[in-house]
Amino acid sequence: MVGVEVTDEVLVERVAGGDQDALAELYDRFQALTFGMAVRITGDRTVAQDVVQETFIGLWRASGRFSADRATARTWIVAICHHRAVDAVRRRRPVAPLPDPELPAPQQLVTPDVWPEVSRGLDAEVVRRALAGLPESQREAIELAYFSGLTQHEIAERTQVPLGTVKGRVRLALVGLRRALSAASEGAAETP
Amino acid sequence: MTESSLLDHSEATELAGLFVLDALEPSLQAAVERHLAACPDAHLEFDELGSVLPTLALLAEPVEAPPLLRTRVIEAVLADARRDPSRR
Repeated sequence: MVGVEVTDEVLVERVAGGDQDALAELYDRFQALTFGMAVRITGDRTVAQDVVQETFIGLWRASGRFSADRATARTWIVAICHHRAVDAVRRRRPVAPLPDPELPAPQQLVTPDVWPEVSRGLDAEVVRRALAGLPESQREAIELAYFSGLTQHEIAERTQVPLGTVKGRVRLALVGLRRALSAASEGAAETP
Repeated sequence: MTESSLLDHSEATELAGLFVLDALEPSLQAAVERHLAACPDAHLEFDELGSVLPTLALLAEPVEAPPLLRTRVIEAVLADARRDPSRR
Protein backbone atom coordinates (compact mmCIF):
# COMPACT_ATOMS: atom_id res chain seq x y z
CA MET A 1 0.00 0.00 0.00
CA VAL A 2 1.41 3.33 -1.02
CA GLY A 3 0.70 6.24 1.30
CA VAL A 4 -1.39 9.07 -0.09
CA GLU A 5 1.30 11.60 0.76
CA VAL A 6 3.80 10.08 -1.69
CA THR A 7 4.32 12.41 -4.63
CA ASP A 8 3.87 11.33 -8.24
CA GLU A 9 7.58 11.90 -8.79
CA VAL A 10 8.57 9.55 -5.98
CA LEU A 11 6.22 6.93 -7.41
CA VAL A 12 7.96 7.19 -10.79
CA GLU A 13 11.31 6.70 -9.05
CA ARG A 14 9.93 3.61 -7.34
CA VAL A 15 8.64 2.31 -10.67
CA ALA A 16 12.17 2.73 -12.01
CA GLY A 17 13.27 0.42 -9.22
CA GLY A 18 10.74 -2.18 -10.35
CA ASP A 19 8.04 -1.43 -7.75
CA GLN A 20 4.75 -2.82 -9.06
CA ASP A 21 2.66 -1.28 -6.29
CA ALA A 22 3.97 2.15 -7.29
CA LEU A 23 2.95 1.42 -10.86
CA ALA A 24 -0.56 0.47 -9.73
CA GLU A 25 -0.78 3.66 -7.68
CA LEU A 26 0.31 5.78 -10.66
CA TYR A 27 -2.29 4.02 -12.76
CA ASP A 28 -4.99 4.87 -10.24
CA ARG A 29 -3.91 8.50 -10.15
CA PHE A 30 -3.59 8.97 -13.91
CA GLN A 31 -6.03 6.53 -15.53
CA ALA A 32 -8.82 9.11 -15.91
CA LEU A 33 -6.47 11.79 -17.24
CA THR A 34 -4.77 9.50 -19.76
CA PHE A 35 -7.98 7.76 -20.82
CA GLY A 36 -9.71 11.13 -21.23
CA MET A 37 -6.88 12.43 -23.40
CA ALA A 38 -6.79 9.24 -25.43
CA VAL A 39 -10.55 9.30 -26.00
CA ARG A 40 -10.40 12.95 -27.02
CA ILE A 41 -7.55 12.41 -29.48
CA THR A 42 -8.52 9.03 -30.95
CA GLY A 43 -12.30 9.45 -30.68
CA ASP A 44 -12.56 5.74 -29.93
CA ARG A 45 -12.83 4.17 -26.47
CA THR A 46 -11.36 0.84 -27.62
CA VAL A 47 -8.32 2.42 -29.22
CA ALA A 48 -8.04 4.71 -26.19
CA GLN A 49 -7.68 1.66 -23.92
CA ASP A 50 -4.76 0.48 -26.06
CA VAL A 51 -3.25 3.97 -25.79
CA VAL A 52 -3.47 3.89 -21.99
CA GLN A 53 -1.83 0.47 -21.97
CA GLU A 54 0.99 1.68 -24.24
CA THR A 55 1.37 4.79 -22.08
CA PHE A 56 2.01 2.74 -18.97
CA ILE A 57 4.36 0.34 -20.76
CA GLY A 58 6.23 3.41 -22.00
CA LEU A 59 6.24 4.86 -18.49
CA TRP A 60 7.63 1.61 -17.07
CA ARG A 61 10.36 1.39 -19.69
CA ALA A 62 11.41 5.05 -19.52
CA SER A 63 11.02 5.55 -15.77
CA GLY A 64 14.78 5.28 -15.23
CA ARG A 65 15.28 8.31 -17.43
CA PHE A 66 12.64 10.47 -15.74
CA SER A 67 14.11 13.62 -14.25
CA ALA A 68 12.03 15.39 -11.64
CA ASP A 69 14.31 18.41 -12.03
CA ARG A 70 13.09 18.89 -15.57
CA ALA A 71 9.38 18.17 -15.44
CA THR A 72 6.64 17.00 -13.12
CA ALA A 73 5.54 13.40 -13.42
CA ARG A 74 2.19 14.68 -14.67
CA THR A 75 3.79 16.58 -17.53
CA TRP A 76 5.92 13.58 -18.38
CA ILE A 77 3.01 11.12 -18.36
CA VAL A 78 0.84 13.49 -20.40
CA ALA A 79 3.63 13.76 -22.99
CA ILE A 80 3.94 9.98 -23.28
CA CYS A 81 0.17 9.61 -23.55
CA HIS A 82 -0.12 12.33 -26.18
CA HIS A 83 2.64 10.73 -28.24
CA ARG A 84 0.96 7.31 -28.04
CA ALA A 85 -2.46 8.71 -28.91
CA VAL A 86 -1.10 10.57 -31.93
CA ASP A 87 0.67 7.38 -33.06
CA ALA A 88 -2.61 5.48 -32.74
CA VAL A 89 -4.44 8.07 -34.84
CA ARG A 90 -1.74 7.94 -37.52
CA ARG A 91 -1.68 4.14 -37.57
CA ARG A 92 -5.32 4.27 -38.57
CA ARG A 93 -4.68 6.64 -41.45
CA PRO A 94 -1.08 5.99 -42.44
CA VAL A 95 0.42 8.67 -44.64
CA ALA A 96 4.09 8.28 -43.81
CA PRO A 97 6.46 5.74 -42.25
CA LEU A 98 5.66 5.48 -38.58
CA PRO A 99 8.09 5.39 -35.70
CA ASP A 100 8.49 2.10 -33.89
CA PRO A 101 5.44 1.97 -31.61
CA GLU A 102 7.48 0.07 -29.03
CA LEU A 103 9.82 2.97 -28.44
CA PRO A 104 9.03 5.35 -25.60
CA ALA A 105 8.36 8.99 -26.33
CA PRO A 106 11.63 10.69 -27.19
CA GLN A 107 12.99 12.66 -24.27
CA GLN A 108 13.04 15.86 -26.28
CA LEU A 109 9.26 15.73 -26.55
CA VAL A 110 8.95 16.01 -22.81
CA THR A 111 9.31 19.71 -22.48
CA PRO A 112 10.23 21.08 -19.10
CA ASP A 113 7.81 22.72 -16.76
CA VAL A 114 8.96 26.28 -17.19
CA TRP A 115 6.15 27.26 -14.90
CA PRO A 116 4.85 24.07 -13.27
CA GLU A 117 2.67 26.23 -11.07
CA VAL A 118 0.79 27.17 -14.20
CA SER A 119 -0.22 23.67 -15.12
CA ARG A 120 -1.00 22.94 -11.50
CA GLY A 121 -2.75 26.17 -10.66
CA LEU A 122 -4.68 26.93 -13.81
CA ASP A 123 -7.95 25.25 -14.44
CA ALA A 124 -9.32 24.19 -17.78
CA GLU A 125 -11.49 27.28 -18.03
CA VAL A 126 -8.46 29.59 -18.00
CA VAL A 127 -6.79 27.55 -20.73
CA ARG A 128 -10.03 27.49 -22.72
CA ARG A 129 -10.25 31.28 -22.49
CA ALA A 130 -6.61 31.65 -23.54
CA LEU A 131 -7.25 29.43 -26.55
CA ALA A 132 -10.45 31.30 -27.39
CA GLY A 133 -8.46 34.54 -27.34
CA LEU A 134 -6.35 33.41 -30.28
CA PRO A 135 -7.21 34.24 -33.88
CA GLU A 136 -9.40 31.49 -35.33
CA SER A 137 -6.73 30.27 -37.77
CA GLN A 138 -4.16 29.84 -34.96
CA ARG A 139 -6.63 28.08 -32.68
CA GLU A 140 -7.55 25.72 -35.47
CA ALA A 141 -3.89 24.89 -36.19
CA ILE A 142 -3.23 24.04 -32.53
CA GLU A 143 -6.37 21.94 -32.20
CA LEU A 144 -5.66 20.01 -35.40
CA ALA A 145 -2.11 19.29 -34.25
CA TYR A 146 -2.64 18.56 -30.57
CA PHE A 147 -6.10 17.03 -30.45
CA SER A 148 -6.46 15.54 -33.94
CA GLY A 149 -2.87 14.35 -34.30
CA LEU A 150 -2.45 15.90 -37.73
CA THR A 151 1.02 16.53 -39.14
CA GLN A 152 2.01 19.88 -40.65
CA HIS A 153 1.31 18.55 -44.17
CA GLU A 154 -2.12 17.30 -43.14
CA ILE A 155 -2.95 20.61 -41.45
CA ALA A 156 -1.85 22.48 -44.59
CA GLU A 157 -4.05 20.26 -46.72
CA ARG A 158 -7.04 20.48 -44.38
CA THR A 159 -6.86 24.26 -44.03
CA GLN A 160 -5.68 24.85 -47.60
CA VAL A 161 -2.71 27.04 -46.74
CA PRO A 162 1.02 26.65 -47.50
CA LEU A 163 3.26 24.74 -45.09
CA GLY A 164 5.06 27.92 -44.10
CA THR A 165 1.75 29.41 -42.99
CA VAL A 166 1.02 26.38 -40.82
CA LYS A 167 4.45 26.70 -39.24
CA GLY A 168 3.86 30.39 -38.54
CA ARG A 169 0.36 29.89 -37.14
CA VAL A 170 1.47 27.13 -34.80
CA ARG A 171 4.35 29.21 -33.52
CA LEU A 172 2.23 32.33 -33.02
CA ALA A 173 -0.45 30.29 -31.31
CA LEU A 174 1.99 28.79 -28.82
CA VAL A 175 3.57 32.20 -28.16
CA GLY A 176 0.12 33.73 -27.69
CA LEU A 177 -1.02 30.97 -25.37
CA ARG A 178 2.15 31.24 -23.33
CA ARG A 179 1.64 34.98 -22.95
CA ALA A 180 -2.02 34.64 -21.99
CA LEU A 181 -1.35 31.84 -19.52
CA SER A 182 1.56 33.72 -17.95
CA ALA A 183 -0.70 36.74 -17.46
CA ALA A 184 -3.43 34.57 -15.97
CA SER A 185 -0.90 32.87 -13.72
CA GLU A 186 0.43 36.19 -12.47
CA GLY A 187 -3.13 37.39 -11.91
CA ALA A 188 -3.89 34.24 -9.93
CA ALA A 189 -0.74 34.71 -7.84
CA GLU A 190 -1.88 38.21 -6.88
CA THR A 191 -5.26 36.92 -5.75
CA PRO A 192 -5.09 35.70 -2.15
CA MET B 1 17.26 20.62 -47.56
CA THR B 2 15.82 17.13 -47.55
CA GLU B 3 13.81 15.92 -44.62
CA SER B 4 16.42 13.39 -43.59
CA SER B 5 19.36 15.77 -43.83
CA LEU B 6 21.03 17.44 -40.89
CA LEU B 7 19.30 20.64 -39.91
CA ASP B 8 21.23 23.74 -38.99
CA HIS B 9 20.34 25.67 -35.85
CA SER B 10 17.93 28.13 -37.44
CA GLU B 11 16.18 25.43 -39.47
CA ALA B 12 15.64 23.36 -36.36
CA THR B 13 14.49 26.36 -34.32
CA GLU B 14 11.95 27.29 -36.99
CA LEU B 15 10.37 23.88 -36.50
CA ALA B 16 10.23 24.14 -32.70
CA GLY B 17 6.46 24.72 -32.48
CA LEU B 18 5.57 21.84 -34.77
CA PHE B 19 8.15 19.66 -33.05
CA VAL B 20 6.84 20.13 -29.52
CA LEU B 21 3.32 19.45 -30.80
CA ASP B 22 4.53 16.20 -32.39
CA ALA B 23 3.19 17.51 -35.71
CA LEU B 24 6.22 16.86 -37.91
CA GLU B 25 6.50 13.86 -40.17
CA PRO B 26 8.63 11.14 -38.52
CA SER B 27 11.74 11.75 -40.66
CA LEU B 28 11.69 15.47 -39.92
CA GLN B 29 10.91 14.87 -36.25
CA ALA B 30 13.97 12.60 -36.13
CA ALA B 31 16.08 15.22 -37.91
CA VAL B 32 15.18 17.80 -35.23
CA GLU B 33 15.97 15.28 -32.51
CA ARG B 34 19.38 14.65 -34.08
CA HIS B 35 20.02 18.38 -34.17
CA LEU B 36 19.05 18.80 -30.50
CA ALA B 37 21.31 15.92 -29.52
CA ALA B 38 24.29 17.25 -31.48
CA CYS B 39 24.04 21.06 -31.27
CA PRO B 40 25.77 22.63 -28.28
CA ASP B 41 23.77 25.88 -28.53
CA ALA B 42 20.82 26.61 -26.24
CA HIS B 43 17.37 25.74 -27.53
CA LEU B 44 15.18 28.00 -25.43
CA GLU B 45 12.52 28.22 -28.14
CA PHE B 46 11.74 24.53 -27.69
CA ASP B 47 11.34 24.86 -23.95
CA GLU B 48 9.33 28.08 -24.19
CA LEU B 49 6.87 26.85 -26.80
CA GLY B 50 6.72 23.41 -25.23
CA SER B 51 5.84 24.82 -21.84
CA VAL B 52 2.32 25.43 -23.12
CA LEU B 53 1.64 21.76 -23.81
CA PRO B 54 0.93 20.51 -20.28
CA THR B 55 -1.81 23.12 -20.03
CA LEU B 56 -3.45 21.99 -23.29
CA ALA B 57 -3.94 18.59 -21.69
CA LEU B 58 -6.28 20.30 -19.21
CA LEU B 59 -8.75 20.73 -22.06
CA ALA B 60 -9.35 17.01 -22.35
CA GLU B 61 -11.99 16.06 -19.80
CA PRO B 62 -10.83 13.20 -17.55
CA VAL B 63 -12.82 10.05 -18.31
CA GLU B 64 -12.90 7.07 -15.93
CA ALA B 65 -11.32 4.12 -17.72
CA PRO B 66 -13.25 0.83 -17.75
CA PRO B 67 -12.47 -1.00 -14.47
CA LEU B 68 -11.07 -4.06 -16.29
CA LEU B 69 -8.40 -1.94 -17.95
CA ARG B 70 -6.46 -1.70 -14.68
CA THR B 71 -5.65 -5.41 -14.54
CA ARG B 72 -4.99 -5.53 -18.27
CA VAL B 73 -2.51 -2.65 -18.15
CA ILE B 74 -0.63 -3.94 -15.13
CA GLU B 75 -0.41 -7.45 -16.62
CA ALA B 76 0.79 -6.00 -19.94
CA VAL B 77 3.52 -4.02 -18.19
CA LEU B 78 4.66 -7.06 -16.22
CA ALA B 79 4.67 -9.20 -19.38
CA ASP B 80 6.78 -6.52 -21.06
CA ALA B 81 9.14 -6.53 -18.08
CA ARG B 82 9.48 -10.32 -18.32
CA ARG B 83 10.41 -10.01 -21.99
CA ASP B 84 13.05 -7.46 -21.09
CA PRO B 85 14.36 -8.40 -17.65
CA SER B 86 17.13 -5.83 -17.91
CA ARG B 87 14.48 -3.19 -17.18
CA ARG B 88 13.82 -4.57 -13.69
